[in-house]
Amino acid sequence: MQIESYIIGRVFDGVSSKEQPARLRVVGERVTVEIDGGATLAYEKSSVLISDRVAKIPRVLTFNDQRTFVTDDNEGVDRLIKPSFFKRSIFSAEMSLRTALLSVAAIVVIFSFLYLVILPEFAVWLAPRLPKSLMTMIADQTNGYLESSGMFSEPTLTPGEMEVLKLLFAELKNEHPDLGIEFLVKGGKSVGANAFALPDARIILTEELVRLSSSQDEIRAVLYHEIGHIFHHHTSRILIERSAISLALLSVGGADALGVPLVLMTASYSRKHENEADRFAAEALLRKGLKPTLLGDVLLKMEEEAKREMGDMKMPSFLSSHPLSTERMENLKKFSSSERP
Amino acid sequence: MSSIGSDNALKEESSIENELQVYRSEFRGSATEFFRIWIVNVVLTILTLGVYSAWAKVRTRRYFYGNTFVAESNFDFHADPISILKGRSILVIVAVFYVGLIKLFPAAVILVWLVFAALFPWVYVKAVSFNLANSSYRNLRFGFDPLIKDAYVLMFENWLLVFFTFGFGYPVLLYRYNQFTIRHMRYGAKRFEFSSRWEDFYTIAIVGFGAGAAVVVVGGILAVGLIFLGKLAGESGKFVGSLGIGVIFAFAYAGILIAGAYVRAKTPNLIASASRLGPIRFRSELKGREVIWIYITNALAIAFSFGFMVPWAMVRMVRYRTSRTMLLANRSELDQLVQGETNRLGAVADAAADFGDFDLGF
Repeated sequence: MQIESYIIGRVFDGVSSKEQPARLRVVGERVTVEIDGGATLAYEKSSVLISDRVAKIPRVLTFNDQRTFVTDDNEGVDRLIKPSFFKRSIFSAEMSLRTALLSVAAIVVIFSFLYLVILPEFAVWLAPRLPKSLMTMIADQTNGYLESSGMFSEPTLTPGEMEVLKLLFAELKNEHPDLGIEFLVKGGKSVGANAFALPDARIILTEELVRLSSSQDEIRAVLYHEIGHIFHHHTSRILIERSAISLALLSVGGADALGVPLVLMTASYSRKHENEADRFAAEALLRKGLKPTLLGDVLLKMEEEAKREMGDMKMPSFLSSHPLSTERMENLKKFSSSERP
Repeated sequence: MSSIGSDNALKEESSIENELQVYRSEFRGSATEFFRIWIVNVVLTILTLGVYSAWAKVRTRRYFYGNTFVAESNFDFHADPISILKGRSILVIVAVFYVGLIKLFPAAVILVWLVFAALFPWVYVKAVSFNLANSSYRNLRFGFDPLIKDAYVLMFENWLLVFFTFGFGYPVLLYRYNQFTIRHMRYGAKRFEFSSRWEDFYTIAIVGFGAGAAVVVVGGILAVGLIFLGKLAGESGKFVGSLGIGVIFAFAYAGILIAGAYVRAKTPNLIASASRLGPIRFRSELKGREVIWIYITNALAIAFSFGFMVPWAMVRMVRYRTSRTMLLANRSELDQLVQGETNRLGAVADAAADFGDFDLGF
């Protein structure tokens, strides 16, 4: 004799909000619902819709007359009407602690790999292939901003000083004619002694930096660093990297997630680019028979001057998009010792 | 067997039924339980390049609705993941189009925002309608059925209001928007009612603003003091000076946070007490300092755990809000709510099957 098991629950008839305690039974292809102190209803098993099992929430069986039967006995329901393999798998995955821990580990590994390897490599591959029109447009925007912001002024160097610089510029252009580099000298105002590589391969050199340098070779060192940025397509790469991270943060956390996390995550990419530019400069200097530490000397001088302007605040390394000068000096020293024939 | 005696007995029975009871809502889920659902959602979403996200959303909603109990019954969510997938696909396409357009023609931003503004009331009505039509309690569905043209009129009037009052009319806008939303909400056949005064919204705004401003003023005084000290100390005092500037930013941020928390706690409280469903009344007892505390600690936990504490934070906030929300009703009134016209399968399908759920946080 078959032992028939009941499932205890409540019926909601979909007409009023009143609950009706009831029991449910499955006999062959029929599902019967016996309402306490009331009618017995019967339905075709195949016409009954069963809600997906999610943790311990009550299970709902929906019948073709809009009535529902709600029960806490999820096990009982699964015993009587077996859920599909797919649904069972998802549910047991959600209930398994081991799956959760494995998932956490997998996510950490995947995202670390994406962040540390995949995205940077993708940026390296894509950067030279970006359409020229896009880069020109970005360059125009940047230039427009620079003009209107009043960040720079006209330089006040003597014509003699400018002539010397023009010779240096011509020599550097000849070393990499295909990059289409142009040089500009500007008065730095609040920016001080500095140099910038723009998206359209123009390099800005401030006159404060010219005055700060004790030799033409120091200027050359800084310009090599900037040419390195252009050679390695750093503007394009950081654009790609920043867009990808923004997209990822947006989809995970919404608009709130942009801002600080974005800055932190792109800072490490910027530092990597700076290291690459340093390496480029070091190799270029060596080829000219100059010491890579020349760049380090100029950088230290620039840092000293910046400190004099801003007070003595040190930024922790991971926040800064430029590696600290002591770090960079160490790296430059390494370049000179390893490349020596 | 005196008729008076049996009359009394009947009266006693019905008076218990007629006693106003406080039905607190209760959240019965837990962070550890939800974490596992959430992590599987994340993994499957990544593996399916985002397609599973629609199913993940439905599962998450069902978990939270299904664990929210009031008067011994829980809520349920019925959306078809395919509809959500359609809505999300449209959103993604629009987003990509928007980003691309901005990069190419920065000036087009204005045009795009105009288009968004023009579509906003329609999208709002569709999204809220989708979510409510797919939500149920005791097998009766909720609903949202304003005329779209009314939504447009409302938005237009609200824009004028904000524009001509230079933004000071915002509390009134909030009042009108909540009034519109709640008065067009239904449970079964019954409409929700909303009766509040716009002045009440102003009170909340003013107090919140005042609290925030007080914090900023304190910060300002502190900052001025520090900067002054810094100047006195000369060279070595430069650090103190910049610390002063940092203090201004920190206190300004804190002020905004506190004002926001106060408003975000008091407004639902006001809306709850202003709303009714027939004879059923609602009460919400959120406290500003509790809301802000939970919000800040949640944000810190999420940041320091690289996102893994998101499920914990979600459960925490829902549990708090649920525990502070309650119904005031008679037992009999709760049982007497009745199906609406749109509980019939076909009509539900219309509202619910649209490329619904624009996932914009409505």
